[in-house]
Amino acid sequence: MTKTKAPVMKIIRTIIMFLISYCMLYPFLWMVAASLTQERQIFNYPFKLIPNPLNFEGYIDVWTRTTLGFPMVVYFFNSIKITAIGLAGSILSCSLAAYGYSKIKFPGRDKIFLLKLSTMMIPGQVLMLPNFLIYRYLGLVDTHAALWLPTLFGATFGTFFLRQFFTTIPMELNESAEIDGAGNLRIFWQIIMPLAKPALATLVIFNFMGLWNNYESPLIYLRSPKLYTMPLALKVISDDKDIIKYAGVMAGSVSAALPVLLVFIAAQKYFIEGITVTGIKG
Amino acid sequence: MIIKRRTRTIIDGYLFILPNLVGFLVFTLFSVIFSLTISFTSWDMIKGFKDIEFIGIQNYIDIFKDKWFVDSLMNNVYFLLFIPVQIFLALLVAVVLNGKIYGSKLVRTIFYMPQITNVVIISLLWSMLLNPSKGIINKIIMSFGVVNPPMWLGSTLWVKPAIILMMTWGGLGYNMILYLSGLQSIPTSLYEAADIDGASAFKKFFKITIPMISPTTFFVLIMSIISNFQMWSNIQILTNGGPGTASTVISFYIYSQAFRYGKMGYACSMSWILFLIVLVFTLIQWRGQKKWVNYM
Repeated sequence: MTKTKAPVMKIIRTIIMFLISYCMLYPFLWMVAASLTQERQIFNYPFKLIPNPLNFEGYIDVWTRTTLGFPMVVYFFNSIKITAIGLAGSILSCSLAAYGYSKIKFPGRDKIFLLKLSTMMIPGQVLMLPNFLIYRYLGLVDTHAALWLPTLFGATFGTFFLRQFFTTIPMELNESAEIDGAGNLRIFWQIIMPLAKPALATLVIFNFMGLWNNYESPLIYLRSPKLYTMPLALKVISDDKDIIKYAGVMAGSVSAALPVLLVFIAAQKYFIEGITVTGIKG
Repeated sequence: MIIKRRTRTIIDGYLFILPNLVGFLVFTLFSVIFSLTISFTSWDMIKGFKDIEFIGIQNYIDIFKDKWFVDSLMNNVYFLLFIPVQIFLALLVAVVLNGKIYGSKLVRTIFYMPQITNVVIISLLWSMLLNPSKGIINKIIMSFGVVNPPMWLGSTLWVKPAIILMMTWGGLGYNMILYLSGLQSIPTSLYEAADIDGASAFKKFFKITIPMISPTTFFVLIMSIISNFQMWSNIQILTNGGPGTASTVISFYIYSQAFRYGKMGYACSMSWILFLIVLVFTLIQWRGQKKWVNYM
């Protein structure tokens, strides 16, 4: 688009965009407002986006009520636990592997890497079933391990992303460190990793989002309510047609969405860069 | 014991990629072979290992006679048809956003928010908005005088449009950001030359923007097709495939057959059919790109 000198076009475009943005944002605004509205007012039309009176019953209800025998706090901590372990596992294994694929010359390296890359083409459905059976054989169904163990094996995407980044770090750094007598582990830990902070930050953010929001894996692997994570618990709460309170469901949703939203707003720059560079979704 | 430097390097290399390699060997290579093998059996998880029968390609034949599968495939295709519209919308929005506005970063954040939100939250939210009697969307429609607004998730006719509405809202941000970055790489000199020739905005859009952005369009198209065939959890939360089979999709059917009915053999073979379908679509796009994608 040509740069236009008249601010009039800019203002018109701004107005159009904000109108569209408002429509895009409306469902979320409704969600927050509904979570703070009295139950009987939720489906009022026209709907007041600023509820009057402000009602916190939804939040109190969803956080204190026991769903399937456990309060929301349990599910919240399950989510935190799995996200934390998963983050550590994936960052560690992806970066170790990326270092190996980029900084160490060993026979078969590039062939193995290419083979790994090509597996990204396989749809998740194909692997979902046999992997479930493997975990079942290992007795890991209905455990949290089934949810964070996969991250220890280095997701192809994370490994690819980091490996590309590592290749931009000059080999001279490696070589001079080797002359000084440092082994690969030391070079990895003390030289390469500190330089990779921006790429690592991007990976952490995307992994955090993926782990926190994950619904499919807990759905497939978990059977005992005490192990449920927040997304799964939320779904179960909303299924409870007899006791369902819409305000509570919305309050639960806002609570579950908040951590990711905060991380996203704080680290926006990495997000946008990450998507445009690699094309990955959330 | 002195280890030669060369050996040390090789050991190091494999050690570093060990978790990665193990994961690949077990959870990818082995899983693929495992899944392929099971797909040729009649394994039913409820009956256990004893009754496994090797039945060759019977599963694959049964799939195409299965009404539920055929319906799922039709639904997937139905959703596919709207992808061009969704992509075009994203391009339009990206073009407006690209032309310098106030608060563009804020707008980008707002558009991307659905992507970072959990599928459960989005589905629950939309099922409330689409509530036939109480939801806001129908209340708005009724305020325009329509007496019988659509039943949305409860209607075999309207459930798919409802899902498309939700998907468009959810996917716009991601596509828009990809287009934004693609737009940045179009040389402004092209537009300036067009201006000198007195071209209208319309002409500029269709003769310059669209052709020059075609690599991004190609990428967005492929990604959209792939994710179309892979989505299932939103359906599971919203409608469980219903009413009837009006909203079921292949991926959901696979989940249902494997984890609700225990028919592992059948589900595995279905997942391979899904793989083939996605492969075919991707290949068609790949071949077609020579015809309509301009690489600079």
